[in-house]
Amino acid sequence: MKSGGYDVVVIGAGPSGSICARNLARRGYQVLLAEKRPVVGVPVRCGEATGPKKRLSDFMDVNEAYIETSFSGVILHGPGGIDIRYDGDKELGVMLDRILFDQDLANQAAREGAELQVDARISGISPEQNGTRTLTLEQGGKTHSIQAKMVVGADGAESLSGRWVGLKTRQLPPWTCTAIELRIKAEDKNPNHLTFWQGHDSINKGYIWVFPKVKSKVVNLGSGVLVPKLGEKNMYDFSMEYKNRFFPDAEIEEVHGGCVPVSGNLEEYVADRFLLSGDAAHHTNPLTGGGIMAGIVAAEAAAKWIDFGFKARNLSKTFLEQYQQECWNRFGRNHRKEARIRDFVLGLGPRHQEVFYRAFKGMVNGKFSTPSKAIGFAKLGILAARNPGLTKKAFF
Amino acid sequence: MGTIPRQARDGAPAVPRKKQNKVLLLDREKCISCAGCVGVCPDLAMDMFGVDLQIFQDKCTYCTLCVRFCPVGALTIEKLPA
Repeated sequence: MKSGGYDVVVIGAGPSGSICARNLARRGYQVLLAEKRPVVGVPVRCGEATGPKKRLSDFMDVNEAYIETSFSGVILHGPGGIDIRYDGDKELGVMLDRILFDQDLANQAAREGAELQVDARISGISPEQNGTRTLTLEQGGKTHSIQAKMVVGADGAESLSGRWVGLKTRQLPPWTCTAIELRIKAEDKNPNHLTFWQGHDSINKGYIWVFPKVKSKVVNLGSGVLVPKLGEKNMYDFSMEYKNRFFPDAEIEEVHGGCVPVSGNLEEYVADRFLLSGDAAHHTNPLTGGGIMAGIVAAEAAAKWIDFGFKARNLSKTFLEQYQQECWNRFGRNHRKEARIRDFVLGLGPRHQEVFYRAFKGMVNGKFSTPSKAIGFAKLGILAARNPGLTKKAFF
Repeated sequence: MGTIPRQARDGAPAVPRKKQNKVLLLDREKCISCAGCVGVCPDLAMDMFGVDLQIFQDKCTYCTLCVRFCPVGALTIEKLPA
């Protein structure tokens, strides 16, 4: 650890933190990447599905080692026995091996010159003083205090760094998902599809998923819901029920879980010489819970604006709000739309939900010539779900 | 249910509470180190040390949020004998 201090300290070596550290180190800054876990990437806290390789390659050199499967379709089991199957001819996304993925990104950051410290827990951030922030770092029973001109909090859903500097980043119960995932030694019947169960027949306030990981011959079976009431069945028992139903004899290799912020972007996640990125800033898709892509996009934007800030000798909150604006433009607006869709679907009663799913199925199965026609039909479906009586008269 | 989150009241001064004869217990065998409870706790009453969850009993106000959250049911609030 250097005594002279750093230009940037990045807290957390997940995808977002590593990409931010890598891009800053590439631009010639002194970067410290501090990870509190002893091994980068362990334990996994993720469903491990993300966007297509083509999108990933905009941000990194994709290494085949951590690509497990590429999927091109989705199967959605809705309420009332409505099964929606979508087979695309293009790649929809890939399954990752998150441990290798995180480690590869952290290595990339280290190769560009960032200093990676593991088992290094940041336990406090001071207010800004004379253009630096002082961080308390605990490593191996010793406490160090380090100076940084800029701090990036990329410490995931359990982020405390934002709360130390006075940002309101706590996970609030109506907009937080609790999730668990069982890694099962089995092979899925549909290796090129992601499978979901959603709706009043299975689980309303969330969904259950089965993601195949073909290369390592395992299946990720998980479930996530908005934080339940006290005394409701916990997610582990729920997942076990589905495991016993679909993979009765298979062995469970590992259990992991986590917290998924589904509020959409926070209103404010920058401060003087401080910004949040990735899950810490709630950069997750409120409909699907996926956050790898948004975290990477946000990290790239963060590195860009920090670079501009250093060049302009201005890392104040007002300047960094431009980063917030860029995140909003690149994915935040879409996330808010998706949050509205989610609230609408989850708010429907059993009967209304069935009508909605039927309309949705029609949309997926019908061949639409243009996307706008599909969106128009989806709107019609929502209208139909809102007025079930009218729909019945018109169609059934 | 609105989509824009109501902001947390982290900055507000702690409300003095009557001392309760309770304790927040963690079953370390069940815990999967997902750290979700750290994110939902309004009182900063727990933190991860590496992959180890530590609970600071003096800060806990027994709001049961983490108990509701925990996906494996590793956290419980027990009453102490008087």
